[in-house]
Amino acid sequence: MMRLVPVALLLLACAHSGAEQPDSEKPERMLAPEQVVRASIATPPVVRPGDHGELLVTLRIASGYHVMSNRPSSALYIATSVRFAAQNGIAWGNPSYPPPRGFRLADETIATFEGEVEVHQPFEIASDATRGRAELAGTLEYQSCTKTSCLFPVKRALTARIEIAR
Amino acid sequence: VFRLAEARGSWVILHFTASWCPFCDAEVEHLGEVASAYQARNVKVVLVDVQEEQAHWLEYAKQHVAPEVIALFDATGDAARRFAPPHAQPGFEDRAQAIFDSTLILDPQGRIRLFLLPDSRHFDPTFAAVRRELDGMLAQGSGR
Repeated sequence: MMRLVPVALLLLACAHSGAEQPDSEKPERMLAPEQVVRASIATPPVVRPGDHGELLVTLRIASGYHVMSNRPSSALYIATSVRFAAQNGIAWGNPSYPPPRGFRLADETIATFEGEVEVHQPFEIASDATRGRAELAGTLEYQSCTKTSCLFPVKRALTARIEIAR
Repeated sequence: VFRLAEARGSWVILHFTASWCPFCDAEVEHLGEVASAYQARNVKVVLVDVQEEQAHWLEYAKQHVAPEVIALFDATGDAARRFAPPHAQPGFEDRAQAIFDSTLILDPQGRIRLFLLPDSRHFDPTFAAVRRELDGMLAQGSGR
């Protein structure tokens, strides 16, 4: 890992002193990366062995922010993804995402999501699945930006519960 | 390991980036132009990648970062955190986020002469403001 000389840090106070900026020129206070997207999961009330169903994962993206779509415009960018872990008795299908919205950045338009995004995650309950309540563990990944700057990528846990009927 | 002390005697433009950041990616090409334009005027351009996989960054740097730019890798974000102003964007628990995509100009004595946090109202990938400020500083001399 590289190191940088500490002398620069000592001089930060000088660099930041000075007259108050008018409100119109002050930088907007930004959300922490983890706060940009709120996720909720809707599940069928009851499922039975052999049933097909889906989880509806709703991502609410804070106003003024966007995240890269599930198929970003560059391989360098970090895709928004919802993934549920493999577990006995449940087979996951491919999640479906809405169409992206274009965000104009310099000379290109990149594929993003804004506002409310619904991700449909299909599943199938095995015929020999254990009855009772099942906890489904997943992950949400995204990387958000405002119209002028970007925030660190986020990876966090998702949890859903379903009732497999007896 | 690179120490900024090694650049004493030169002006330094220091910029923090990551390959996954679309805004940063748009800036990188122009940072190479800045490095080329000011190389003969004793200005070094240092680009610090913050907190991503080393192999990924090395591949990115090979393909996208001009050879005139000193490309560095800050695996943990610790180097970036040392520069994060304590009161900037207090909602950022990871202080490396507060410095991310910022640009500094250091004079030949190693003093910070310009500190540009990401502009929340405008985006200019060409570093026009940095160049303008640097031109003024170079015209005034070393700032002793």
